[in-house]
Amino acid sequence: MDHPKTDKGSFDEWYKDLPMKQKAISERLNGYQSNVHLKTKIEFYKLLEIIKRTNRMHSIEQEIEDYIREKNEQLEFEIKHKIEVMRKAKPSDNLDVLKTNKFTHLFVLIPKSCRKEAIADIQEIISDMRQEGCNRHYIMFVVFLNLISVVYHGLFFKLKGYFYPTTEQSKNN
Amino acid sequence: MSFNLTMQEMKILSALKTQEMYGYQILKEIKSKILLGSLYNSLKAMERKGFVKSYWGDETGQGGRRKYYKITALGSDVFESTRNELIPLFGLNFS
Repeated sequence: MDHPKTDKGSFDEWYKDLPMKQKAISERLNGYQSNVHLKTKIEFYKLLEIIKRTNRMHSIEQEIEDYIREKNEQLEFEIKHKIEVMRKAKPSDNLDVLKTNKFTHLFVLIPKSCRKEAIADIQEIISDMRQEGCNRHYIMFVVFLNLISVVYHGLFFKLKGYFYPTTEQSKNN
Repeated sequence: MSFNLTMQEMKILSALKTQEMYGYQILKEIKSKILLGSLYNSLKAMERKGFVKSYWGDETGQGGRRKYYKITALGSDVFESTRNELIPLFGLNFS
């Protein structure tokens, strides 16, 4: 049976080369398949790497969280301890409270504007004079003088208008 | 230019120029026999004028918290100008 000829040759010729062509096609297909396999392999390894990295990050984050928690607990403990120490301490050790001793009743005499600092300074004067070995009566005299001066300067200038009305009037004018 | 500064106030300013001090410390520094009331009065007057600033310190002394005073920029300028006026007049030195 004669087959019609085409531009690419006769059917017999084409048929003769068929096994070769099939082989080439199958080889090409295998290659393609192997390429696909390699690509998926690479992607898998990449994914594995990413998973590993995320796992590592997660562990680092956990470590940081643990560290922060530990530090917070330590700080809380220290603060609680400090508060307990402050509570147990005498009122004099507290920064906002003055020593409760015989000078406390002088609060009434000394003007409010310089009450705290005046008492602190007077007590320092007394301790200084005691260290120098001064006589008790002399210390009392000096303290009395200082106290009187504080009271005088604190109160008298407020009453200046009452004692010297003409001077105050001229000032106002 | 006059700022109505007394001699005592000048002494206090000169003491405060070196460092910040509390009341009794200033009293010891200026070495003149003045009483606490007078010192507080001068300090309050200068604080009102803006020559010094006060704040409560954290440390406690013998009695309680100390109130510290420090010289302001205005106070420093006033002190310098007054000193420069007084030196040629009376030959005074506050440093």
